Amino acid sequence: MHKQSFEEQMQQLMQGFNEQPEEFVWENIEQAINKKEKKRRFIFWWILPVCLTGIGFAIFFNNKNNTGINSIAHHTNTSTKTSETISKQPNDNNLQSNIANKKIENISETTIKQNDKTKNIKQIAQKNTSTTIYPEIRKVTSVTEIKKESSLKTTTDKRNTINIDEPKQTNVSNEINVITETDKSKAEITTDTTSKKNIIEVDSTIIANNDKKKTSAKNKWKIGATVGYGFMHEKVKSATYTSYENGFSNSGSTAGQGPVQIINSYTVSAAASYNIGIAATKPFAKNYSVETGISYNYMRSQYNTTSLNTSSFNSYNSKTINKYHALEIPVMLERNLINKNNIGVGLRAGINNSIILNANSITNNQSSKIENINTYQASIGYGLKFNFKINKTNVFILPSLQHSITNLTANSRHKWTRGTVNIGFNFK
Amino acid sequence: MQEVDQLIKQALNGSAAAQKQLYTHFAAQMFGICIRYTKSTEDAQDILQEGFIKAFKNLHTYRNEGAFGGWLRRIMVNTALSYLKTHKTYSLDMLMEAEHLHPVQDNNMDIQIEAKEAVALIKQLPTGFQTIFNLHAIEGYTHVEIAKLLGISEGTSRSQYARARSVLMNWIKKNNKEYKTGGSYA
Repeated sequence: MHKQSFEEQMQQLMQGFNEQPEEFVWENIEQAINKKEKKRRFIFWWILPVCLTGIGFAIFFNNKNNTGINSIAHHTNTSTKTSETISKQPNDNNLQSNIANKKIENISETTIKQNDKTKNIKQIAQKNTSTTIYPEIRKVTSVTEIKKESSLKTTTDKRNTINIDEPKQTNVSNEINVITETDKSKAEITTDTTSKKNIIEVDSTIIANNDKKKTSAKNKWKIGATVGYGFMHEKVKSATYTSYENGFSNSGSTAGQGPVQIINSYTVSAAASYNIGIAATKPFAKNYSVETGISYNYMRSQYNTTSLNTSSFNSYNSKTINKYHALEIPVMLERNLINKNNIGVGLRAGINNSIILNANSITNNQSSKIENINTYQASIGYGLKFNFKINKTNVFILPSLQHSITNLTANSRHKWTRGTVNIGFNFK
Repeated sequence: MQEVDQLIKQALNGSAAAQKQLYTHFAAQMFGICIRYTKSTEDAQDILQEGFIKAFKNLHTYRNEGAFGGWLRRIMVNTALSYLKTHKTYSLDMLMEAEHLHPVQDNNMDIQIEAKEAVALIKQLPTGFQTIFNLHAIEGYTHVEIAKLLGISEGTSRSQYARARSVLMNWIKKNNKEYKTGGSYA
């Protein structure tokens, strides 16, 4: 009869050594697990309100722009009378319903030196091509108020204000041209003899129609192409697991021919990912745009495994790249922060919807197909947008981060993160 | 086994009841392992707690290859080693007093004491010896693996194990006699 070694006897003896821990151990474990769950939920519920707040701001500012025409700025003139300054705005109900005349007031007495104060609007338009004028649309109750208002040097609504100190010749010229070409007969210019200033009267419906045309052209979809490079990282903690393979075992209780224990420990690291696609942007309010599109994404993540054969003591390292091919449709909200000298900077945030077309190579088993993959992947994306206008082309750079909301596979909780820098262009 | 698999699936889906059942099923066995690596029950409970938290948080990494108990056991051992390394009271001193180094002639002695008594003796070894003995004699780790795990040379692991084994055998031999004659451990 085979006499057991000291180690074998010890192993056998210890197999039967069980001790019951105290009750509080489980309570502590339970608490710790729930704490983590709560933390996860907290992160999710933190991101959601941020997105909702962003959308809320967008709607708020949009509405504010629309109702801007109702915002009244009071100006006190020398005769202590006040009048309402109103900005023109597309689709404004007030403007459309109120057929009261809008006066375009030219307060450029000093700058239109060559203008002989003709009452012909066409002549003013021609002058505008080479001369700076400062029109402003005002809702007034009488011509006398216009005369008094002409002394004002600034207005409150920046959107439709032409800075008196820094005149924008082109805008003014275009505006006048549009009016004259649309309906010259309805425009009239008069000269206030007291203030010696030119006053142009235009029917509000003409202005409203012109504004509509300009706005619709500005708010069209801009479609372009984008290509990106970045890293994907699967959020899997380093771990150790045991596997078995057939071989000759010469240690412990498994001596002889049979399954040999392999101790594998792995770490997960980021791997390069690529994407290419079509991006479409549409402004829907001042400084706000919505962005969508479709792109093909090739995402990769690397598993570094160290395996130790407990029989031969051989240790070897292996690398496995998980590959995911996906189609992605983002829905992003953009907030423009800076827009000067053809350079723009903005913030972007939204949801990315991905459909995984194919996924292969997963670590820890020999199959080349990843099983139980969740085909639909949703992720939260956010980042910056740097925009450069070169002639009629917009070139943009989009550094962004994505955090998955859904799990990568059906039977695991692991999520992923992706950092990408995209470069693209679109045409006006 | 099927029941455990089922519980794992349910625990992965966030079932607290399944997590508790898994804990109840394995707690006693795992606590036994933790006791062997420490000097006090409190420390063993700390390791058990930490080990189970790790296991539940990383349950998705369990690949159904081999027994769940084995996977859990490995986590407990690794947690115990981390605990020993990070707690100053368990600094892995390898000092062994001369009186412990009497060679043992009988390599194939019969162990006639109970598990609880054997554990009590193992716990009396200096921490370094206790750890190496547990890892090699009971867990079945090779000296190469032990060297990697503890950051020591393979030779050190072998020599320390030989000494620990020798001491323990002496103690067990003494206790065997007491056991037979109705001594203190009987």
